[in-house]
Amino acid sequence: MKYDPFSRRFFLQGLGTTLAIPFLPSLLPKAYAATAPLRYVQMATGFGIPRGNRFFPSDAGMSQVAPGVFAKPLSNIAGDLSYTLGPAFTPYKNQISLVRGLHSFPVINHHNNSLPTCAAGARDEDQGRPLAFPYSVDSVLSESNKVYPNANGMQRLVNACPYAGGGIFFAHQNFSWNKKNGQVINNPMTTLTSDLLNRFPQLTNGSTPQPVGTREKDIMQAVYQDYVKVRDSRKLSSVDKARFEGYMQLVDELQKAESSTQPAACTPPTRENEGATDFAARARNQLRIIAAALSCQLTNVVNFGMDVNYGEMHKITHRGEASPQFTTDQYDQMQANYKKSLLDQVGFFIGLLSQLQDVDGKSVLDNTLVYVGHEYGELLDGFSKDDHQFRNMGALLAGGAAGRFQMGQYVNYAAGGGYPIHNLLVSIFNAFGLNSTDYRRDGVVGFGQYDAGRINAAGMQAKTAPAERVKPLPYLYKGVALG
Amino acid sequence: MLSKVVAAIAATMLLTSCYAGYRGVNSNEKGQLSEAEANSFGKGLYQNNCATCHGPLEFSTKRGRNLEQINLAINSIPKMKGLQLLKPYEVNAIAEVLAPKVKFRYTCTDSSARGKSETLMRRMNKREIVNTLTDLLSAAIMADASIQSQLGLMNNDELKETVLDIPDIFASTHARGMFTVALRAADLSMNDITTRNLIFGSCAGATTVTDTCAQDFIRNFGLRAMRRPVTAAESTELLAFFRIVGGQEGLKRVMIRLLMNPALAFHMEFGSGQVGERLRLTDYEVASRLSYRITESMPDALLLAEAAKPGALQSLANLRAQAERLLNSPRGRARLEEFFRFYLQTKNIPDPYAPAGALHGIDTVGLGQEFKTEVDEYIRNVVWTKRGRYNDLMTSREVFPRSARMAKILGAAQVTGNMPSLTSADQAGLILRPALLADGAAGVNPFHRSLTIRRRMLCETFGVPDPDLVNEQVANVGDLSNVSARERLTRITSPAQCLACHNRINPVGFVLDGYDQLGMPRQVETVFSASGQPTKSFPIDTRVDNLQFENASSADNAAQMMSAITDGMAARSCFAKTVFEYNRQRLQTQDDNCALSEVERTAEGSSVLDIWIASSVNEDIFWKAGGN
Repeated sequence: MKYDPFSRRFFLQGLGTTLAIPFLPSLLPKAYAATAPLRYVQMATGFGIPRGNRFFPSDAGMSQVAPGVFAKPLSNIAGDLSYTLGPAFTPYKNQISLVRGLHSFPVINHHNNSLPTCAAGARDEDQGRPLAFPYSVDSVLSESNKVYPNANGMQRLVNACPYAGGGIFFAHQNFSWNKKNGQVINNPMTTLTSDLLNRFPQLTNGSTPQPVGTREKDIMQAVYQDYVKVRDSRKLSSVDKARFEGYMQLVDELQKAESSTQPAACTPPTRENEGATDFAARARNQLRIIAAALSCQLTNVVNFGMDVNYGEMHKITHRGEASPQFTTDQYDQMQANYKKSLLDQVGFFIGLLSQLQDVDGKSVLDNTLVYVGHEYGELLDGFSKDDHQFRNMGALLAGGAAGRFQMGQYVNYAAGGGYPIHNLLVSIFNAFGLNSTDYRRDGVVGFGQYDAGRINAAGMQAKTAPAERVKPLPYLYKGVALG
Repeated sequence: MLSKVVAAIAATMLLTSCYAGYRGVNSNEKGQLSEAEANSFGKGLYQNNCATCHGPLEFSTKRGRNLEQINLAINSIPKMKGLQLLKPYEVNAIAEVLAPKVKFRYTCTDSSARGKSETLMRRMNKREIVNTLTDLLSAAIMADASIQSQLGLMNNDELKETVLDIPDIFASTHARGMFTVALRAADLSMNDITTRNLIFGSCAGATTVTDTCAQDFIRNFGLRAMRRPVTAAESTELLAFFRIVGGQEGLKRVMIRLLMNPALAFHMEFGSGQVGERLRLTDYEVASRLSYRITESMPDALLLAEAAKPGALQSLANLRAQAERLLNSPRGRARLEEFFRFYLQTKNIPDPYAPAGALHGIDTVGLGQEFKTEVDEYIRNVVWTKRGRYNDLMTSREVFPRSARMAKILGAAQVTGNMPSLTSADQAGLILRPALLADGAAGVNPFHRSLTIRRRMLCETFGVPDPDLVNEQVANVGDLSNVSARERLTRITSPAQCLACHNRINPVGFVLDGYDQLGMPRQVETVFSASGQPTKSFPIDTRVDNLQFENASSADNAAQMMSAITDGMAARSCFAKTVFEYNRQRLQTQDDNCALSEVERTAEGSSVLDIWIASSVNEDIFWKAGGN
């Protein structure tokens, strides 16, 4: 046999020798002794939540787990969680939680894509007044040394929004805000995949696409030849040949992709071809990059904005503005379809993180909190400006931040009158070690905008009293309350 | 090309000749034409003058119309005025071809055309892929979160309203998804000892994986993955591929390659040889066809064993026995149940309008799902437990209310076990069930209800109205808030252009107006305010005298209308056609008439299961179109 120091056979021989050495803790892979960082990924979509059980599962079978808090295990739900939270989430019922019945209290509820992440910090864009509370969770976390004890070489905040277009609201669709030098800033974001990749030189350095010789390339080349043989066998009719070649093209693209990159941690992840308007493919590619960056400890805080086709969906959400008109059921279904198309990407991302092993041996997902929010709450019927709902906002959490959040549960606060969504954000801060002093901004007690008129109208005075504002959510939050 | 032109000229001359002969005589001299010639003449006239509005003769909505009725229509319906130019004998010829001479719609006239409609190499749809992978690998492997996630991103390939809903081509993510699944599945299969032994054989766990071990795997797994024996050349090549890295990794690579094989992307049929214009399929291809038609998955071990016996699957009797066996498997049952959800459009049933439920003291939240469950249970009972016929499905009074509110809606005792309770004739059968009548809107929509019957149960087709005309008419009729739904629809559709279709649509809707948003019989139509408060009511009138069914023109109520549907042939023919098209995932063609006539005749008196089998197994299963 020809000697090749890098052959698989040679490697296995070495491995056999290694395995023969007695077990010693000091020989454990060094990385396993390390403490994994906590990561925060914020993902938010435009518009509200589809009505009824198109989004949330049925409340049947819930039991009271704390005063005014009802919950049931997601694993008790047969099949998919709901139409919107479809098959992409079904495998991850134990790694996610759904939260219902969170309220927000904005003075203005116009589109600014800030309600779920700044807790009601909307601005009055009609009158040009700035965002009332321009600090989103990701911004605050990204600035904290508790999240970045050592930020050398790391991107403190990665902000991506692959869905280009969408008219005048595009600039606001990333849900990420801050104020610097007195100026409200919609945190800059990347839209193109190449730009996002360029933010991580560690991923691209030495990433001269490595000629692989790997199984993926070898297999795909052989598979492609299998297709060539069938195509050239002259057994196909001309029509069938055209159809066959259509699929062959996909196989060919796959073959070429596998020949040019090497999927591995800290190298550029294998990406799929993305057209100029194939936002779903672009989103998946960017999520692959983000997953690799999180895994390689190149960032701990990510914001990922999701929205497409603002204009059409806006008309549909407001129903009466759409033309032609549809039935209530059709509107609901269109909204659910839209939401589902975006949330499928979340399911894809959760899948990616769950497959990546972290330095402590757990999955990267286990050491991450993925917070999926929505611009508004559950939609009402009929045309109304109140479709800009800030009541009954919902959240999907995944990963649980290393056990700090209750996972695998559908938690509904609505029966007890609901909770401010502000307390969810406080829970997130606490999970990452930030207390009320750490996250306080502009002298506000708590986090976000607490409009007295809205609070009184909702009868939420008690739950928004100053002492209550700095408490994490009951039941959902399992970590230490930091006050 | 020249021969086609000559044939066309000859056909034209023949038709002209017939026409001239017919034209020159009065109706008493029809004997100058043979019956076939007269029939051809009438068909031509119908096609040129009537088919645009009333559909092709085979499915004409005017079947059974006599000469007097046709003349009345020509003289009274403005849109038909142009037909006054027709001579009396021409109108008579049309009436004759419309006359119900034959009971069945499909007739086998050319048995040599059987199977020629199978012209395309159909791609595997997602359900077929998932089922096949599950059978190849195991449910445990397919339950892996990563695999499920990948499958979740692939196009769902869901049939919504027609069999054409699944696109011809794959989505761009498909190949990537399949590859990722294959990579993951190979690792999982090898890592778990039980699965490894099952798929690769126990020899795969040995320190050294031998060529013999690899050859056994190639032969066994290749047979199942490609649904045919691996050829010697393929075996040699795959063994060489295994040897590149050898060991377990080599086996995994072979497995991944086989999972990415064209047979897992397309239904490959190359046949055993050309017979005339057709290809005769091999036994393995027949087995594959049968299996996918019945279970949407690869042939199981028993069927593959039958395919290995020379000639065993050339027997229709044996194929029917295999079909019956597969139909009783969980996959077979699931496929038939899925068919009914497609046929009845019951995949998504809305919760009924809450204020309508409040009138009965019924909370409607979650009711749509209960309706769906009930109709599923009903179908299982009639089709499987009782092995019922199509007419049993349409008329049985058995119901499965599993809650007090369902019992109230169905007017029957709540059930707890497997035995159904009985409802009244007003709510008997499939069509009069809440699952088909439920409406989430403030008012029931007689138009939509009628279309469900006309389109899906009777296979009638309707065009799309001119939106400008609709808007104009809605503006013309003005405020209709103080009239009943029946009156509203009548006024809006009163122009002659609308009545061309609505003459058929409206009456069925009016009969079904006797049911509220929950599918409960009602005597009164209640109108609700925007906030859901009852504001006014109108008495319901379900009597119609222009039903335009093949065998009935009037009905007092829905039960009478259902009798007419079940007594006639149209609904059963339509069911046969729908089963056939669903089974093959394509529209029927003229070359399917032999198979369809068998299915149609089965539908007349045999069980639904027999209809399903007749559609899956007949002489056509052995053939496909040959050549280019």
